[in-house]
Amino acid sequence: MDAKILDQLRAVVGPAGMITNDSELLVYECDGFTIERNKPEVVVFPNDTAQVSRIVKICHQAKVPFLPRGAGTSLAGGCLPIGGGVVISLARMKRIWEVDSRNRFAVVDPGLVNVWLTNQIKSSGWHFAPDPSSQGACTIGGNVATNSGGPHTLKYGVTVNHILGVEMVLPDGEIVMLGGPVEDSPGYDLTGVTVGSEGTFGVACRSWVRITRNPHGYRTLLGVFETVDDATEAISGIIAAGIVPAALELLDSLILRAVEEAFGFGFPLDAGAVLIMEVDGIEAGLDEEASRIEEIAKKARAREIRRADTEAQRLLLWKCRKQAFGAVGRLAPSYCTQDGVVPRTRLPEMLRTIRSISEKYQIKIANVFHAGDGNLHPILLFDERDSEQVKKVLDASTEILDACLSMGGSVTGEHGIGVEKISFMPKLFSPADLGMFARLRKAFNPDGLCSPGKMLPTAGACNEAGHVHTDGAHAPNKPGRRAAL
Amino acid sequence: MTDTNSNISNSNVRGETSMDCPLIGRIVLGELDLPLMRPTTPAALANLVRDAAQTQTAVYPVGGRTRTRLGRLPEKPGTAIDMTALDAVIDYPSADMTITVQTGITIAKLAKILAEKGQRLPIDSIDPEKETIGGLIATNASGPRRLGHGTLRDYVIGIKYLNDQGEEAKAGGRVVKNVAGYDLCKLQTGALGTLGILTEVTFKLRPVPEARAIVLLHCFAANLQAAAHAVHGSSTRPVSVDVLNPRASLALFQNGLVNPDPGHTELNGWYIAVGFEENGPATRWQVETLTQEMSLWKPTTLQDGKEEAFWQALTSLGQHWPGSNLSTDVPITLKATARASDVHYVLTKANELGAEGRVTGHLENGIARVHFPGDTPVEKIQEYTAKLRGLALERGGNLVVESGSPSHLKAVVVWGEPRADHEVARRVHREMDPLKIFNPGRFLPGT
Repeated sequence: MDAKILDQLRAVVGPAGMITNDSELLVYECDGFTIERNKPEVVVFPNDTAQVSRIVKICHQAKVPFLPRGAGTSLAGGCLPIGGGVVISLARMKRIWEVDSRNRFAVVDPGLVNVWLTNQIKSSGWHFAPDPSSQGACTIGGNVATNSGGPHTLKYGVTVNHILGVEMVLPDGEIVMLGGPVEDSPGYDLTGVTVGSEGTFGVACRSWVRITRNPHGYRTLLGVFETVDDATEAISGIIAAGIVPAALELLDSLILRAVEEAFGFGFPLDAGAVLIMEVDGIEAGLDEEASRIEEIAKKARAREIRRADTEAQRLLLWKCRKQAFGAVGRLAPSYCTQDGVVPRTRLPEMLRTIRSISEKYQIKIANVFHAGDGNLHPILLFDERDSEQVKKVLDASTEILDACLSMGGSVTGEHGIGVEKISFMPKLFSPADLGMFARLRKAFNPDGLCSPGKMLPTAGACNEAGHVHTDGAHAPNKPGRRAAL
Repeated sequence: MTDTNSNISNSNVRGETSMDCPLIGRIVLGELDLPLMRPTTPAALANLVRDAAQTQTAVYPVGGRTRTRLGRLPEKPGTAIDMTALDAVIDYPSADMTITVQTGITIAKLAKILAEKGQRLPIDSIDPEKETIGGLIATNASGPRRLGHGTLRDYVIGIKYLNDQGEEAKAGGRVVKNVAGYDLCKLQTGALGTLGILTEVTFKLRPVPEARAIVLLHCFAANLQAAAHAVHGSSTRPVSVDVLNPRASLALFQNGLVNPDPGHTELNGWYIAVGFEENGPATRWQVETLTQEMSLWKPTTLQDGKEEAFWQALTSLGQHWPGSNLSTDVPITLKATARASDVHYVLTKANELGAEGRVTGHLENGIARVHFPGDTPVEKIQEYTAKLRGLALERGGNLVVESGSPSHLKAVVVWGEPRADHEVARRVHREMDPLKIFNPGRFLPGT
């Protein structure tokens, strides 16, 4: 990179606010999706929105690609710096600017770790509802970029349902406020369409987020089933009964073993599947709902139903669920997790399909996922040192996602397209659909310098700088995919 | 509407009237007198759009025509399109709790289909029998229960629309969780049809709640803030918190729905209506708890269907005025927003405007509405609009004129003070409708 540009950047963030050293840059060559890597030329660490704006202006003028980065927990390559350029790390911007519980919102920096907001406000009876499994590490700016989900989205919705406004630095450096804390602001819902745009519309800085009152109480049940099919039957039964649980999470026998080894919760190791079933809300209504759920689960041949009677038990159960991915390391040296979605009623069929794909490729696949949403997270276990296995895993992943599409679903429920699933976009969308997406992006990002090569298979105007192939799903000789925590 | 059946033959209509796209009359939108076509197939609809693109004219889709008085006046000649023939249910996998419908379907028809499976789309409609899903989405309509259930942006998970080339394009899908592609569902919701014509939509659904009730509380302008604050601090979790000034209460109570104050024939206070929808025990507990917490505010409970009728009447409150001629007098509705903590101020000031104004508000959402009869003089509405907009702006909000006759709409700033992102909005519009085919002139200036 031109030394003059580096000097300009240094003038904004200071020498301690940037990295240009090759070995340090290694950290930024990928995120939780490790199969494709590319080093940026420089990483800068702005302290506030004004600095972000100045950095972006420098990039815009010099026609250098740039990309915002939070904690780098993306599982889809959202933080992969295609074309090198400048990575704008938002890690130093982690302030909570305002908590206004009377008006039910908070203003937070993009680098604020998701769970820190809830930790800050929970004692006064509030929380931030989106709770991705990585919430101890991922940032709210990253949640905004990818429209993150989590176990409790079943009742409370995903990130976009909790974002009221975003202070954006547009790709030309202009700072603009989209939406805001007051509802029904006249005009297009630019906030709504920006959430989940994977950093391709600009750099989301401060966010105005909706905070949610804590429920009076919870009832958390663990249903133990002989088979996955029985567990999915219970899920359909609960939904059909008109109950909106706070969460419905399924863990199959393979993942149970790993989680049990890691946390010693006391899961029955001979079970085919367990379901975490949680209802929350007004205390007075919870026992009735919990009993109905218990009844439905028994009808679906649950062999045992346990209740998390204390808050400590409940938290341990959720720890087991949220850190399940971390426990997978006990099963195999490498793993790759997918994020397909099918209509809820097709879950039994989809899980059978996954089993037959597992047998066909002789690859073990563990399942732990948001069953109530139909959002699967099959975890393919392998050893990345064995190129034969790597190829099998990539082929099996493609087959699983194709099966999701053929059942009327999607290839990503919450991880995003990034670069990982870009080759699926033409399968999901027609040229007309993609053409309209491209037009929309052009309105925000006409030069294509901001997060190039993401989301859309057709390259942005300046994507010729990209050296990375975006056909990850078909690249047999790349190193293994590994989900990060 | 009476203005649709005259003068069927018209030489200005470029698209020939045909079996699958008959010319059914004319319609007046704003000050434009437009031919009205009624396509019966998506292909016929697409032809109309392609026609408009070729001739650089405009298309104005209409559904139940409940909100044609919303927005600035249309500025470009063209064709009005009656969408009501495209009202099929495409797919209703009820166990998945989603439904895909064509956008010409009415709210009532959809509600009936969903109710058979114990499900619903929890969005309040101004006139369920007439209003269509397309109109609901284009105007991002909502009502009292938005507090508990959110707005349309929380339910639209997939859309199909016709773009400026008359091509069908889509976004989202039919599963409840999906982050593939840009979320044009959000962008199209509330865009007043300026970014394409919505043809199909997929909703995420909710179960019909087991029990419902409203607790009515009585207060005066002077202690509205205290009452609102007390409700906010309640340990219950209402799905709606609405306020009505004396004139709005009177209009609502006069229809015999309820008489919360039997000792008095003249209602002289304000009412706050706190709504609950939950399972039986949770609803009962909340009614009892709020009744105790708010015992100083004369609580009365509405249930057994009265609560549903109340929500509906409140949502349609601006529509009905005794003695006014509905074919000539278009009721006027102003919607002011503010921080929820400040909205009581906007509400009490709105109450002081004119003698006729029915003032209502969603207290916890920071939304205030004032309804005036259609014969209110233009200068008065101009004055009220400017005054309320100023108050709203000081409190972080804005003001939109939701309904009015052309002469009223021409005299006021319909969409309020331009937002900070106005220029970005214009760029988005320029990219998506460069020829200004879709509803030109009606939305933000420049779109």
